[in-house]
Amino acid sequence: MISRRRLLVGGGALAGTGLGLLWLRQGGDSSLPPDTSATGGLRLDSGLGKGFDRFLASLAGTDPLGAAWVEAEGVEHIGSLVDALDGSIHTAQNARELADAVAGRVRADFQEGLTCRVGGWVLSGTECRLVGLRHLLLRLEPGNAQLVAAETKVPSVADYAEGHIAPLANWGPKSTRVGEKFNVQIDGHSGLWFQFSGAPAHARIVIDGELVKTSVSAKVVTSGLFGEMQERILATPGRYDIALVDPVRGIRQPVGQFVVRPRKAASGPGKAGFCEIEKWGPQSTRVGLAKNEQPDGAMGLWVRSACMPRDAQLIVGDDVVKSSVKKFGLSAAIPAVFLEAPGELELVLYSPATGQRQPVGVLVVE
Amino acid sequence: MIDDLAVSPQPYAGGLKCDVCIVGAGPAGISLALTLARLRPEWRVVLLEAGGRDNASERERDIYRVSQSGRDYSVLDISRRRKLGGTTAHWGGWSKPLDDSDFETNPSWDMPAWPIGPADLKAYYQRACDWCELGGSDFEAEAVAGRFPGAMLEYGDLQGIGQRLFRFSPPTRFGARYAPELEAQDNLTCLLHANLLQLVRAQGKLVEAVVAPLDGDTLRIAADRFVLAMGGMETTRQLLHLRERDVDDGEGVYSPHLGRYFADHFGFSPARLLAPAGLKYHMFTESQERLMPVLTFSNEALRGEGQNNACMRLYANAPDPLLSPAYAEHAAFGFRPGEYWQYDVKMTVEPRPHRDSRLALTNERCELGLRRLHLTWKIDERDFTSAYQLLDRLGQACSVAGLGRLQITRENSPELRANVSGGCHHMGTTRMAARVGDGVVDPDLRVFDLENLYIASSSVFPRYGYSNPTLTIVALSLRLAEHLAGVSAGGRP
Ligand SMILES: Cc1cc2nc3c(=O)[nH]c(=O)nc-3n(C[C@H](O)[C@H](O)[C@H](O)COP(=O)(O)OP(=O)(O)OC[C@H]3O[C@@H](n4cnc5c(N)ncnc54)[C@H](O)[C@@H]3O)c2cc1C
Repeated sequence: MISRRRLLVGGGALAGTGLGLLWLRQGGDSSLPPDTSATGGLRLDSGLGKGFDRFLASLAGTDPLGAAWVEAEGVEHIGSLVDALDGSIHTAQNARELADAVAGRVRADFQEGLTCRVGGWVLSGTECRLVGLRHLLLRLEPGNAQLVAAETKVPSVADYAEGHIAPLANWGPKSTRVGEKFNVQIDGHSGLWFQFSGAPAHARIVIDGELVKTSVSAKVVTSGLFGEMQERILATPGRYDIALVDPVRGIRQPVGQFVVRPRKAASGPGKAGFCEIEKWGPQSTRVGLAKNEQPDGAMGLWVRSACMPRDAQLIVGDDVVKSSVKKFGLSAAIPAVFLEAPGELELVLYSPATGQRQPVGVLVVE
Repeated sequence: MIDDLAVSPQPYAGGLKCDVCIVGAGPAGISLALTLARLRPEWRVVLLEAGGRDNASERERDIYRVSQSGRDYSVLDISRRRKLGGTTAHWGGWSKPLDDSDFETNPSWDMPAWPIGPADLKAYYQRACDWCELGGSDFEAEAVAGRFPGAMLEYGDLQGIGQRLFRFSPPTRFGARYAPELEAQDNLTCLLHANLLQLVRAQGKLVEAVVAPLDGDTLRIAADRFVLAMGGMETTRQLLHLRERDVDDGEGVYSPHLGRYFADHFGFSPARLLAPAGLKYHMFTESQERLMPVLTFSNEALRGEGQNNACMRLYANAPDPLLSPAYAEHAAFGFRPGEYWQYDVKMTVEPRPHRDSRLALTNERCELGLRRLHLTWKIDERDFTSAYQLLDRLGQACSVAGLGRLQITRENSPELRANVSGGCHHMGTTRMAARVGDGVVDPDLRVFDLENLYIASSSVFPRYGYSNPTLTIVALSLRLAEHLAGVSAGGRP
């Protein structure tokens, strides 16, 4: 644990800049107990004044980034961070000027190549120092820990209490097949409707534990499967819980389950010698996108079966693709070039020793 | 007319004579043969195809077997088809002309680029779009930006970055799509299961092609001119067979360039981008039209810095929790207001011509009696450096413009470099050049040392860009058709 004293060593920082700090210094008297009303309850005292503290406090959600940067750089001294902040940041006269000065410095950092890396992210040096500074300051006050954790915690709707929000007459569609969008809307999402009467305007739909875009009118709530979630859910057969939540009251009203059914196998089951295929996936992808990407860009595909012949190979269309028999069944690599056109790729298992073939199913490229 | 030598060889037993003999009925051979036959109704055109209408048998596929060393060309076995329509039997239909700068010599590379320019191909590209059924021939990315607000990053904002557009063929299966037209063309004979075994040369020109079905008699075809359109590997294989002495210090088939500079576009997914929601740098369909904008280097960077051309596609994906999309709500970090997503960045990279990346003949023979090929695929490490510079440029441009941040998810490491795979585009081994010392074919696609042998294939590409090659292959074939017919662009004989 780094002590406050150690952190502040080198904290003649501010004086070093020789700059005005007019607004920043207002209320910067550290002999008074910290006033946390303007910092969302966070106790944070940079010594640079309330205005700057408020600014740092406003950088919600950046603590993991700050922590990662501080750790990677081995930064211990707040003073050195403050020192490195640009003069224009120090001379800001009000919140607006401070935000503008930071934004200007961030932009200039990128232009001048003054960047830092955190977890692979390329950020401006100023960004890293600010989130690092915030992290170090927050860490000095153990009371901040809970608030910081709450900042970054994705609100878990699963924690909401079950309860009643509004009467539900009906909803739909209730199912689809792998890879098949339904009720497709203009922006490409699959639309779902719910006949709730009198749902509050702030109510939201939750699908598979995630809040999704929702629009509420007096008699109907509409929502659906969007973007990445749509891809993920439509690629994987299963049952997905749907609920209506009221984030203000922290209540969750279960609606039902949306079912994604597997695609039918291309043809009938194979002859004896191949066991039944329990599961396989991914069953769909998008043009140009190899899900479960392998180092060579191919899409990793798995077939689960209890008694896969040792010499089993996977045939895609007419081509045998790289595959290997595993404990769980078989894994194979579908070359990325096979995913360039929308359509359906028929997958068949083949055993050269016996000449037997076992249809697996159809991989949908949307 | 289409005839199958495996089924009815009798009418051809005495051989054939024609004005132009084209070998290989993929998109190159089909578009060339039909155009030429239409331009010259008084000529007889013969189109020879090794495969039939169905997929090749195991025996036929074995003819393509190639040994390899160097980096693993893992797509080798799936990268070509032996049937009417050629490899369009399973191509993806991604289509785009080369960028203007792709025709230009890159000052930091050691080989000259195209001896022709975009203006020489413009009219042919337009017609190639029809052949490939693209539903449009406009490749201006700006136009798309205007039509689909929010689909692309704003122009002018992104220093050092350019934007381009792909279109998509349905994809047209040239065999099925054009078989009725081949059937209907009276002065054209397309022979299926006609494997080219040998080209016979006499005094600086070719006189005959010897062909045979797998189980049948040979047939000799005499022609005034010959075109090899057998794809980017078999065409080179035949030219290497034309060497009567095992030397490569001369011109044309004896050029030291023949078989060298084998290239394929390669790709990988090295990064994630935090950027405005709803970007469409991936294939999307709008009113029946399939389009795909991509991000590239700007022309200035390509020309001024001698970069490889490369393109980036974006696919929305689950965010990295370290820097969630909500991070972009911090206006003080320069972000423009709006909703943000995270995207996986997929790159396709232009390889520079690599002398030691090559096709060579081995002493093993296939059942046709042809020596088998050996492939050594190489990529210059500097090609990866350039690709990562493009990524840096994108990250910097988005960050400066307040439109995002970049995360490198895979470093430019030996492991990454060792594992990239090809796109099944066989380019470079019969390169086109203005000077005989720089290539195998001249700007009219004629093999330098043979007065009547031409090549229609991506093997003639001397610089590769990142665009998939088929649209350019067809454009070159249409241009060759007019050259052979003796007409000027778009004209009549
Ligand atoms: C999986 C896959 C996806 C692809 N996706 C795209 C894409 O999205 N966009 C794109 O632009 N390109 C794509 N390509 C590449 C595209 O298929 C080729 O660029 C194109 O088919 C080349 O056309 P070609 O006429 O030169 O050769 P081919 O199409 O290969 O045709 C050559 C013909 O010559 C015949 N032949 C070979 N040897 C002999 C012989 N000895 N005698 C007689 N005939 C012979 C063959 O049977 C064949 O019919 C893809 C390729 C693959 C494998």
